[in-house]
Amino acid sequence: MIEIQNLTKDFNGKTVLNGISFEVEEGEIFGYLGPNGAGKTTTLRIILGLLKPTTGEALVMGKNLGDDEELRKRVGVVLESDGLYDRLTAYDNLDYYAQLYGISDRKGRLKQLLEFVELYERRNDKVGDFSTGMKRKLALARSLIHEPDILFFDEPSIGLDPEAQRMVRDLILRLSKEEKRTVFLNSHDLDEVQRICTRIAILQKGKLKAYDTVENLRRKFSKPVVEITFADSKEADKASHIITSLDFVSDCERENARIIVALNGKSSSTLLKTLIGESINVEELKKVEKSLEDVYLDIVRQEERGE
Amino acid sequence: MKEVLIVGRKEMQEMLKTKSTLIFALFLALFFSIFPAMGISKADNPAVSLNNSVFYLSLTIGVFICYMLTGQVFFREKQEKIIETLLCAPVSLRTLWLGKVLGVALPSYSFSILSAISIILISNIFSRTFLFPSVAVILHLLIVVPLFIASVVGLMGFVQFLLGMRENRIIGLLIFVVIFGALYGGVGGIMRSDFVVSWLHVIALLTVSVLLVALTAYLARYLSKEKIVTTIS
Repeated sequence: MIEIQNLTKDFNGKTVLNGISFEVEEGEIFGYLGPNGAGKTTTLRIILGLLKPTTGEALVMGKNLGDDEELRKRVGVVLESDGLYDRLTAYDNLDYYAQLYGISDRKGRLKQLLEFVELYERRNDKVGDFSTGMKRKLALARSLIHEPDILFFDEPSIGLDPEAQRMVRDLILRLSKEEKRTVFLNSHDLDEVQRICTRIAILQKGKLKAYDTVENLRRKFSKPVVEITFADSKEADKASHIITSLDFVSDCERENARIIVALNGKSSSTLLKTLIGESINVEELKKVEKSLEDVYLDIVRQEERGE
Repeated sequence: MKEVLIVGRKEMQEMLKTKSTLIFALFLALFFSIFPAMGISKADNPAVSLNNSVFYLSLTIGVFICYMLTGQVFFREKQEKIIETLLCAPVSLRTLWLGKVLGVALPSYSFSILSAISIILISNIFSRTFLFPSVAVILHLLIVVPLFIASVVGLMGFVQFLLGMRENRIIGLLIFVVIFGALYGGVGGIMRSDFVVSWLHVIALLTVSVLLVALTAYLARYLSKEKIVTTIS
């Protein structure tokens, strides 16, 4: 559905994207992650045909979106800015795009969408009077006017309350699972990405650092983490001194009688043997499941450390 | 063409919903028309003075208002990053640009016509004889003024799309000084009878308008989505 091939973008001699390649398949929810300035927005702009790549290609259904107006009818977008006209009403905002996309039954479609995002009662109010969350909902409604096959969302949940965030998440899942629409999600919300994305790509300093399913990335990138519970805090104190001196421990976090240890290379049984060998009374040792946030931070920090 | 009209209609709809802009434009059109018009009957040659006033003020008032509206339609859309979403819609950049030009030029021209009508009506109220502009000035009002306004909107819209925010603010200020100076300073000059609007003036201005339209159409080729997007912030 979306093919990114060896994409590079230079701005005034500075490389912002450096040889990026990935694919997004039909019906999948693809999460595109990276810290600020990593090049996420530039990638999105190239895919949408707003920027031209220095080298490489960004194809949507085998074509360049920028050159093909018909193809743009199959794509919906919610960008960083909501792209709404504050001085127009909610209805007029949607109606403008409905006309540009050539929707035949505009009245019916707009009513359906406004009811869907719970803004029908406010349809005649100026968008300038709306809250950030309401604007975001309206922008989402606008992106769905023409029932697109592919949706590009740039931080769709930003500024939304938890209930609205859930609504957006459910909507994206429904669009993908029930209606087989492809979703490209540019997000900082790792929890959201973890919950809904089938595959993700992590970008840093213009380079693709990871590209796989969330599960595979967890396996590939996260170092094993164990949580050890001791009989009391005195035991934890003693253990803490020993653990921090071990060369196969990359991180250690103490919480009363518990210590969370990130291992580097060796297994948890080695750690346990070491502690028992030092006569430490270990009550419980269990492996900790890493979240996407942990994986993401590992990858980003790895790059910062130059590993 | 249909999309040009959709874009143009939306721009006009937005303007109509912005009362402050409408009131200011109306005040501008009437203020700079009524006061000079009241003095026409006292001029050495009222007919010449009326011709001069309609010729000069309809154009400068139209340009002033189009300058004001262009900023709201092109610059503001870029400043608020709305343009990025719009560029993803299934319409070409040229269509969007033309629609916006139409959306600004039409209301600006309406205010030009309003100022011309105001000048004719007010001058007749204060005059003992019936005063009406010459054929040359009527043609100027019907052909040259809309063409000139459209080309100015196109050119200013092009510049606002092409340049960054800071450059746009500087250029906008310079244009404001020039247009306001021309409007304010020119009012005294046009009342003098030693200047008489002739066919030559109308044809010269028509030529300038056509050249401006040609220049704008030529420059529009250099407008790209990339140039707009990379100068947003």
